[in-house]
Amino acid sequence: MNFLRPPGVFAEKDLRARCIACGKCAQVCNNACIRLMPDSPFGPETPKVFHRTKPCILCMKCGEICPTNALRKVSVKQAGMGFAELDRGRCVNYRRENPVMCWTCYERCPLKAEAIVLKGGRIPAVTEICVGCGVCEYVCPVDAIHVTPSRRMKNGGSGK
Amino acid sequence: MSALSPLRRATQWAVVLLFLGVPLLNATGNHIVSGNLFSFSAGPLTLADPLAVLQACAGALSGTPTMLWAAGLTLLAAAVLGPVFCSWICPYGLFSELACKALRRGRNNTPGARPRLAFHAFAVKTGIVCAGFLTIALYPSPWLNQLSMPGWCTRVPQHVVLYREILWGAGLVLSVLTVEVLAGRRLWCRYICPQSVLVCLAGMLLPARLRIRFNPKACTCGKANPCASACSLFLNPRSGGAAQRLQCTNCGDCVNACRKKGNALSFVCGSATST
Repeated sequence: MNFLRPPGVFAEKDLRARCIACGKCAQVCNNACIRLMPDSPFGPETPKVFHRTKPCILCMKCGEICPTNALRKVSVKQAGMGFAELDRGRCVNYRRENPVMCWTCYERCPLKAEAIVLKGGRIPAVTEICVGCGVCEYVCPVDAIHVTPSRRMKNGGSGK
Repeated sequence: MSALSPLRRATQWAVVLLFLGVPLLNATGNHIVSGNLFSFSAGPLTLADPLAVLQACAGALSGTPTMLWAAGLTLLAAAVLGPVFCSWICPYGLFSELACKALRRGRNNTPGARPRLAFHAFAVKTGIVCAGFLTIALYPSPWLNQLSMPGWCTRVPQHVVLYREILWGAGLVLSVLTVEVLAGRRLWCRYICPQSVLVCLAGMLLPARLRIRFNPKACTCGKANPCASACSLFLNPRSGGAAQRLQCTNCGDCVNACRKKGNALSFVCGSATST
């Protein structure tokens, strides 16, 4: 299963070098979505977000408390966790026959009307503003939107 | 200073309870305190394990003001008070002391009479720290945290509360405690603990700090060694040697033992040289 990193991660290698496993990010998270898990069997735990189980709501508390800048203090739009891609073949708004006006992703997006907009005032579409928090994938009833980790996350961040 | 011993024990237990309580408090939605013994936040105050911070700095080749402050405060405390973290704060120190004390009482042996390897022990610990930093140079990640007993003692409750899972470190803590009980002596703190290296070295920085001083004129024990027998770290409080200066954690057990005798050992704020 794919996972994301919490907001404010500069690069996967940088996170692993800086994170001292104090666990404060997970403890202060408003949505309790940060999972501390080792990257190797006996390695130190680092923070992950399994957005399909519990997505990030961009409360940005983790970057504020992190003492070592493993998670940086960034603004919501700089969260840089990943990017959402809408599968038009599955999305019910894009159906040729019997399209359904489902705005679940649009309504629940923490960057509503910015990261996900309504094309033509009707059909949801992802814009470049998307930071990849994973809420849309979590709420989508037909599994039509998928968040992939940020392109900055080299050598990892994309699950086991 | 006569009431120090119960106060110390109470502080140690309070720390254990604090780090059981913090994750539970966080679970209720209160985030005023958070963290473990790698880094702990209480409101605006942040403290950090200096070795963890040094590893992060070495791994990332940079540091942040927060982490330098947090580690600096800890080192400052060690420079002024000595490595009191080990004797007053560290939960593993408490467990190890209790385990070995219970056993020693049963056996009635005198550890002070054993050959003292304190200095060699410190060299072993320093070697472990160096090996850790070599590993970090190759694979940047704070690997020495995996050998942190205070870390494990506070990480495990964190994970139990957050995720209902038990980290492998809990097994490590229990196995090492078992070995120490079987051996009847404290081994990890003396030979392995990488975290103690920096705080002990910080204690050597200032010419004068809180220490235990030996007054030979008042000593009435001669060949008997009640103070050394009382020392859970197998130091000789009467020697005042380099090992004693470096590794004594100011726990005060020897001072207590001596009070019943000639009262030759006492806490002072001063230099290492005995009067």
